[in-house]
Amino acid sequence: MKTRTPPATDARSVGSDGYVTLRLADQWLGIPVVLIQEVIAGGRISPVPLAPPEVEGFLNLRGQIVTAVDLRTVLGLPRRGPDAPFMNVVVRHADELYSLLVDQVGDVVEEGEAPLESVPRTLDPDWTRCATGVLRLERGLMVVLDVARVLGSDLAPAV
Amino acid sequence: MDDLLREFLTESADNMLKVEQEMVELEQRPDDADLLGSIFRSMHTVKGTCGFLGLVRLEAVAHAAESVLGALRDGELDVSDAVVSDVLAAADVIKEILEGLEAEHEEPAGDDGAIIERLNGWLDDDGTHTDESLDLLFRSAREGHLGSSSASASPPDAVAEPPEIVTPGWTGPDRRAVPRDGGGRSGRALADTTLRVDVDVLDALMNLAGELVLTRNQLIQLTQRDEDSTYATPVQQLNRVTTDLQQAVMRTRMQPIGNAWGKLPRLVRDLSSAGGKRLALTMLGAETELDRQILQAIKDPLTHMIRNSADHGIESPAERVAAGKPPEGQIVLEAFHQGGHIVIEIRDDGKGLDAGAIRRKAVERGLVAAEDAAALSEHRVFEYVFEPGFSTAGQVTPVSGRGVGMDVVRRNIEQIGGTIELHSVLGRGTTVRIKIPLTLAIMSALIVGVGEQSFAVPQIGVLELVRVSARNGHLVENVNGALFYRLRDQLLPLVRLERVLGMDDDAEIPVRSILVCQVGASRFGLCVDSILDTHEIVVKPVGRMVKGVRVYAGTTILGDGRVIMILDLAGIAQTTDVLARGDEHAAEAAAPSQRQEHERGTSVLLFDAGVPAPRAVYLSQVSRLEEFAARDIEWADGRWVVQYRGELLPLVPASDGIDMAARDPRPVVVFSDGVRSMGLAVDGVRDILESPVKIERESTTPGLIGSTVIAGRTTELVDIDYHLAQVQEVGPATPSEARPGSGDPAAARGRRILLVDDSPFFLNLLSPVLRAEGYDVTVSHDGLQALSRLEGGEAFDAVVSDIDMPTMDGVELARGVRRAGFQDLPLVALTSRSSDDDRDRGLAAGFDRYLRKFDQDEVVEAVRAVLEEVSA
Repeated sequence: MKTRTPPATDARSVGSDGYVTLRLADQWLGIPVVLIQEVIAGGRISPVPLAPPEVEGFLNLRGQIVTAVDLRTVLGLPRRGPDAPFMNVVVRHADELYSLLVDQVGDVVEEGEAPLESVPRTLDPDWTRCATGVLRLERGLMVVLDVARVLGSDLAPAV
Repeated sequence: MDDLLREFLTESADNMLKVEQEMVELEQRPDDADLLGSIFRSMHTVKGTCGFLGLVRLEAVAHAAESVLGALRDGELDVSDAVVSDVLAAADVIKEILEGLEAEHEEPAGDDGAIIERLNGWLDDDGTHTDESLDLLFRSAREGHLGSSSASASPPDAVAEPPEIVTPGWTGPDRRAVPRDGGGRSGRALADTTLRVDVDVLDALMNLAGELVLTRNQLIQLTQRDEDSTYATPVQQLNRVTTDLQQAVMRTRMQPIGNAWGKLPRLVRDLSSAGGKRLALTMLGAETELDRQILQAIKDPLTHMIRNSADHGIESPAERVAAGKPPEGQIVLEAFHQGGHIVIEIRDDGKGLDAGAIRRKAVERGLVAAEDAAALSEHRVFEYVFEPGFSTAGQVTPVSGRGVGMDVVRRNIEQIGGTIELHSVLGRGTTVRIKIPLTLAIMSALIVGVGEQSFAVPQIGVLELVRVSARNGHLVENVNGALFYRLRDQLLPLVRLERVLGMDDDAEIPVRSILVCQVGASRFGLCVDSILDTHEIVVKPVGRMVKGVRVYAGTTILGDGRVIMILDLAGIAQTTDVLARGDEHAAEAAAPSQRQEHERGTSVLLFDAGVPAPRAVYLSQVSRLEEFAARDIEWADGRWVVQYRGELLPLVPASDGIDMAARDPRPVVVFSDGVRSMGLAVDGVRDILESPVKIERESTTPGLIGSTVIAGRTTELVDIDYHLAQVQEVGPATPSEARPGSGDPAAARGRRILLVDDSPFFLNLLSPVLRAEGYDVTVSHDGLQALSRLEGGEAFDAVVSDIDMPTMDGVELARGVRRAGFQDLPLVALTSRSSDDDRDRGLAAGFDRYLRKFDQDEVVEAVRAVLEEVSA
């Protein structure tokens, strides 16, 4: 397991309002840099039977238990192949640690690089629910995710 | 400073502080007998303890002061400013001596003649004062000592006093609330060595210690792979330090259970006056320590149960006298350690529970069918007390705990991984027994494997392990897809963990290992692929997104870094359809005998009997399902019989339509009432299902109860009691004979086995198994204890010992046994270490057999074999 320099540190040099870009299938996504605790490549995720489908399992991060959430499932994309590489984007939400599983992690986009536009109405409902807006970048459209909504109560299993 | 002295100083400082405060109070309330009693006891404790430590000066002053206090309390002397001043002056002297003692570790020199003389001046000429009531309290320890005027040391004094009396705080219902740390008094320099620490800090420390334990475990695993590792020694050191640290941190969170009892004496006093009753509350084991989190969790349940005892349990003085009991009702609250757990008992000598009334109520509430209620054992009946809204109190009194019932008590106890049981004898009283873990953060668990995944199962819920092999495989019954295991005299419903967890479940895969689990009063078997290990695990909460899954109690990290789930046995029992009881409060699995209590109906076994209408029996009555070869079934003395476990089992055809020769093998349902057994010959077992049983039409045919509609078909219910009454006695049913792999129980009977293991879990696991085989089992907790038993002349026929034990391990024990001259005593080693080296070492040390720990049948077999070898 390899730990990259937490982008949060990078972010400070480019301003704390930037977004870390994430690659999922052929789509660019963004998460506010300030929310991200660290990024880890791969890792052993223990599956949890009966957990909601988006919960890939639990991950041991230096003795802390992290709930691994598959962003592909949350956003209704086809699941990754069993051997396909993935990255853990570790975020803290409501006092718990979560890892958002993505295909790749890219660079940091500064806040001012492009204006945050509202979510297009044509976007898939799964995406609309989790998105706060979109950025028009040179490489294409980047959907900015609201982490709280990705991990939101509507995703929690019915208790 | 040695611990004893330190403890004495702390305690005496407390006591003196209390004496001072109470003497001041006494001036305001000179007639308060309770207050005087309390002051007297405090001073007495100081005196008694210093006598024990040989502190002559202290004892002389304390004794003189105590005598004056005794005279005050007994009314021989009136409270006056002058006498209070003299006692306070004595208290000053005592404090001075204590301070000197703390600084120098010995009594400072000095002359106390003046103060002693002043104190003695208050007394009668002989300077003595007898104390009868206190002697009564302490009489078991030392008759009449208090009456002595001698100031010499009295060693047994301090040790003999029951702690609940010397500890300020729980002296009984009449105790006075006295702050233990009035603070700021010069007399308590030792207070400077204690600190108040925020509980959050302790919790954080506990978590960190837990993390360290995990890292330590990982390191140990890494170094074990490489025996020559240069890290081996430092890792060993780290191992020790981590264990010590963890224990030290755990100690910081431990509090005496008495802290949760503080309000109970007052509660009982209020209840007695409100209810016109006379109640005495005795609290034992208040010093028993447990984790503060658990302490918090049991506070309310305990209060509720004491309230129950006082309000519903104990009768009015008039009723008690009429029943031949003393007018004062006794409630005893006792806490003690038992095998890594804390047991708390609440006993009263009140009117007890009326099983008949509970049965009626259960029927009224539709919890059980009327015809089944009578057949329920009292133990099962009392379980209903834990049902939501179930109260047998005829009326609601002003003090009864309305709105909170025993169901909530049970839920609270189960939430912290505890169990609760209730026993009662009508007219004699009720005992509620609670068993809880010492700490929530760390628990013993079995690590089990299913498919490629591992799970942790809390050991507190596991009664025994059964390994299913070719030898006992036939004991697994498949009745229309529902699995049962014939465990001794019980049909144990089985649940496959794969199925519970929705993993691939191939019903064709044979059952391999069964954990016999207890939830509430019921048992079920949890089938897993393998039982891998036992571990102390650090419990971490389940993440929010998985919290809704009821089968998990937590998560933990194994030594190799894997995250695994901790299973919640109560949750599994609830979510499994075979056992579910729908009601979220009733977190208990219903064993077949209990399933009839299900609100939705009664469990019945349906079978074909060679007649058009299916027939049924109550499943609770069924002992076993068997098949006999036709050639083994004989006609003798005008009835059908078959040789079964060394007895002749009478067979009764389930109807006239059964042709005994027509089927081979012949399915037989075996019934036993503990005295008689019989087999009901059927054509085939069709199903086990739950159905409301309502007798539509009573039968006129002997042997049939009547007809009912089950699953849409008219079904005849067979009257087993009638048939059992018809068969002659076939000798007492011995459950042990039902055990798999059992040899001749007669051969085992009376043979003495010494079972040695430091783990109470394994002792609890193996001793019943060996006892069931007919052996007389004695347990020892380590090698040294075992060896001294043998050397002390206790005779055993075989020793079964664990290898890894503190003080003296199994290998040393074996060497010791052989050295001590027991050359022929069979020794069987049980171990989780199974390398060839270990095995050779064990055999070289003198063991006759070297076995893996988990296979009970193997153990039973090995014991039988070694005993046979010896007798041959």
